[in-house]
Amino acid sequence: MAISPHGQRFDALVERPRLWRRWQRDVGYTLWVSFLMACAAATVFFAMVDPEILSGTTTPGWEISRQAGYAIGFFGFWMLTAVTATFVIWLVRSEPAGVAEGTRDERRDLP
Amino acid sequence: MSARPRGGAGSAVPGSLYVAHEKVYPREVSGRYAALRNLAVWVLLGIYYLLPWVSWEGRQAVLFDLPARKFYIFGLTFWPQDFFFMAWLLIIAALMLFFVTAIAGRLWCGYACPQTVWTEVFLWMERITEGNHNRRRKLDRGKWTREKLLRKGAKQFLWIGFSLWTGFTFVAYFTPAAELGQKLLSFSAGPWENFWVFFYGFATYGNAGLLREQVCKYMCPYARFQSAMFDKDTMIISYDQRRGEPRGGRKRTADPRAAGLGDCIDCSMCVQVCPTGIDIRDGLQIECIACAACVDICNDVMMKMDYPRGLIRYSTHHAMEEQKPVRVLRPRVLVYGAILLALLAGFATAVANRSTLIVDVLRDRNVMYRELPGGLVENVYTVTFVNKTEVERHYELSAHGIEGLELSLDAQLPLVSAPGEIRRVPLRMRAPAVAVPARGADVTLVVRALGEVPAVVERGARFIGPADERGTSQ
Repeated sequence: MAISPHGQRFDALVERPRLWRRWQRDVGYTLWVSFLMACAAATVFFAMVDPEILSGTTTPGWEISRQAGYAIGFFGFWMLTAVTATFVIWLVRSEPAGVAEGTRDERRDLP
Repeated sequence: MSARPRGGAGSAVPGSLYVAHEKVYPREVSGRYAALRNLAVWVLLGIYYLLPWVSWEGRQAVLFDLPARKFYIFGLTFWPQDFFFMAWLLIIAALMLFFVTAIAGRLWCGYACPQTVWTEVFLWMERITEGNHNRRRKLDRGKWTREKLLRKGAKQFLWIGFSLWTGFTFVAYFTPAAELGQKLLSFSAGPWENFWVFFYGFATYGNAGLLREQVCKYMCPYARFQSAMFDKDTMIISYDQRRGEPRGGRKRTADPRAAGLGDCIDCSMCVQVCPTGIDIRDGLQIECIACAACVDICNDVMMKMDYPRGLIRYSTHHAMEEQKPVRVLRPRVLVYGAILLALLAGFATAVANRSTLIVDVLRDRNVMYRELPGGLVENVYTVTFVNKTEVERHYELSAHGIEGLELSLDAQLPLVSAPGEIRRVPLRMRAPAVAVPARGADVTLVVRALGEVPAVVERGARFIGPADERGTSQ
């Protein structure tokens, strides 16, 4: 039996999802945000550049089909954006105390 | 924080109604809004899964032919050069989201977001294989019996099968569905086709089967900025505090007013059904994805208690706090609506009138001009014709800008281009030297495309002649 803050008795506690730990949130933020940006970047880039022509002029020795070009482009963008996101999260997380003014935690402490 | 249970059976956080748990088993809901969501699921997923199988004039109606760099949407063909339309469409979509959010909050999240829609289907598959939330909890905690194995196996079978079908459908928007199906069944699909089927299938499985509302809670950017689009007249899911409080248990027959109670019987149903695990009675929270499950379940409870429905309902801050009527038409909504209409009308006009012919005129870079016998000057150009229609066309060319300007084509006449062909043709323009100004002149090439879809395109080009006494202006 559990008792609610309002004095009501329950035969079972209400379950709520366990909060994500910091590393889970970091991985989630990084992968998801970078994925969205990679989609946008790949769409814009390949609307203007034909991967076949690009590989024909820059890497004529390799045979890269359009389909492979799209995939390489998309994952290339994703890698780039994911590295950026990781870097940003790391910088924010490792902010030394006393360096940052007006961060969330600081504001929370205000009356 | 260190006291937080690490999953498994879970334990209560002191003083809290909740138990943090690795996995939630939200109670099933039925009702008006659940029915609406089911309808949305059927319509949206119906469109998604069936569209690749619809034909239009002998080809797949909606096909993004990446290898050919052409995009077919029913009767329309788009080229990468039409990217501008897609950007425009995205702006319309964003504004639509603003508009809808201003009126009725996170309708998108509750009914239309792919995350919601697919999660709903995965939940349904979980329910038919493992039973309702109580049976699922028991099953998860129980020993591995034959029944558990069979039920879990059946669920995974459905989930994985559905995910793969989803991946297949995704790729079928890029490779014609029938062709792709045959290729996959005979194991002759290209490596990238196989890869994307599995990649998209895996993403579906992970997002809808495993992560579910965690995506909304942690990863969705919209959840973080949606409150900026709200005002006090936005319809949101609200708990009627005036009516509900003071909350408390009572007998069904008891008169709540006599007992000094509000209408909320504190049955905690609204919390039990919440997929993100919030208590709507605490007010609007960022986690609320507006699924309205609490509205449905509370209405059920109210009916059982013989109380009026709508203790939790869609309402506005103004209506709840200040007893003002719900006001939908207000400046913000009207402005969003007007901009949206203008953008939509502009989009429709632009698509209807978009050019079906691209003509590019490029001067030959090696030779400035050439003098021909008979006092003529010749300039050479390369003309590119992009026939953006699905019909054959032939072109008539003419030019003006200099007196006596003539065209000469090396290509065979009539100049024809196949559907969707990009054709480059060398073009010579000739003019009497005496008619060419010393600094050259701007000439205009007029291309008339004849055929089922006629078009006229004019392109400017520079015509250069000798800058000496042979020119007239000297």
